[in-house]
Amino acid sequence: MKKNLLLVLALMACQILIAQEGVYQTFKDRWVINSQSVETLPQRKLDVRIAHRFGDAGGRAGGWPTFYGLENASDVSIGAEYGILNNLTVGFNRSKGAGQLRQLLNASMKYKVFQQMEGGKPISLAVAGMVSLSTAQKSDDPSSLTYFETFSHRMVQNVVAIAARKFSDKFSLQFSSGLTHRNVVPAGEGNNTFYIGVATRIQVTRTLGIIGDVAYPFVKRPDNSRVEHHTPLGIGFEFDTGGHVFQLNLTNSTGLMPTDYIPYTVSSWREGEFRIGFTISRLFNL
Amino acid sequence: MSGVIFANTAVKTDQQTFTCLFGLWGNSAPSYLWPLFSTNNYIQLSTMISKTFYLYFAVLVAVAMACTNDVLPPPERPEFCNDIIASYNTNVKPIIDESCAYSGCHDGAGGTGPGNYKSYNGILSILDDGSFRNRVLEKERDPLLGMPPDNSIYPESQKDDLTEEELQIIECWLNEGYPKE
Repeated sequence: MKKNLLLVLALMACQILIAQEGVYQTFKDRWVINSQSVETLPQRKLDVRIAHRFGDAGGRAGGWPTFYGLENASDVSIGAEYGILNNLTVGFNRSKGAGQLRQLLNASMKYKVFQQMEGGKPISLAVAGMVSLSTAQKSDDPSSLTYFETFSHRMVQNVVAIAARKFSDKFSLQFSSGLTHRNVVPAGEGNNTFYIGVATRIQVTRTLGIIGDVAYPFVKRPDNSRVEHHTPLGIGFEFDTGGHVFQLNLTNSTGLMPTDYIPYTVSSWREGEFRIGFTISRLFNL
Repeated sequence: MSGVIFANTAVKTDQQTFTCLFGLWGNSAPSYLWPLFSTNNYIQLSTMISKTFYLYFAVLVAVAMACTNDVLPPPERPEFCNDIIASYNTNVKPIIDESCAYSGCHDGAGGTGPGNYKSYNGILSILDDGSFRNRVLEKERDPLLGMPPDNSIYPESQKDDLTEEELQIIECWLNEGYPKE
């Protein structure tokens, strides 16, 4: 009885599959601005990525003296991602880091669990992870993050689950929920920082899209802390030039990687502490 | 029992079996998962799982094992801070004006250094993000990163290092949460 039931269910599942077609290009890029998008690379594609975030455009460190931040670099990264399978992407890059732990080597992995289908699954779902390793020099101060008592203290981990839906060719919406785990934290702070994120893409013309992302972290700060945490929020313009995706953005987050900007964003839009940034992505066939 | 169930669907390919067992999302599941539920050759399962699967598994385990939940000790209060009462206006501003915010550097007038460190507001952001402590105290001995820098392009009248007394004032001031008054 049991085995027959299983067989019937199995056959039914196979039948449904025939009428379905995948909905692709929910986002054009594997990253929105600072957060991972639901997209993975096609198999055997190499994506060379360069990202740059300038200094504060306004506020105390911006304005005319720094030419609205263009003279400073709050974070830069260079690296590549590769599609091992159509739904499995791995990446490696080096970023300067903008939080308290800097000089980061970042390794990432993203797996698309399922794809939005016409007449099937209403959303696409992906899970992504990242490990950052700081190559900073050891400090002599035991109360410093860079004291690095053990090797694992150099590492920060991030995992995130991403659900996205492409409503039409013009509009996509994405929700994510993640966790950044710091192996060691200053006294009074929590090792785990959970966060929820929202991202969107509004396609204006065939080549130009407006994108935005925000990640709200639940940060635990020491009671006597004078540092105020702010929510990383970015808006950007995405130009698809065929093979290239060029993105110009404005964000208050100084760091580029979720292992960095989730626990460490202290700059605020309201005080003019946002920056101009760009990301270039170029695909190669391997 | 499970062997019987699997034997029943033995005519299917590995992908079909997987898809049917797991429903819709199985269709997009990676091929290295198919042999897990292979009916054609269940006994040879272990040899059929691809090497990449082991690799990812190893990475996952390595990352999970490297996870720690450590908290740093609070900054130690050095003994010399018992005798030093530091605030920006009384004894820190003169040090910064002389060694950082001089003409040509962090002066807010096109100097080499970013920012305008002539006022409390001008340094607050680097105090908040810890880079002031990092560059002035922790990297003090670093000829390039330690501030002030050991660099001949600056006027010779500018010293390369802060005095021990100045460093103590700054350390006590930072430890107290860099008060303005």
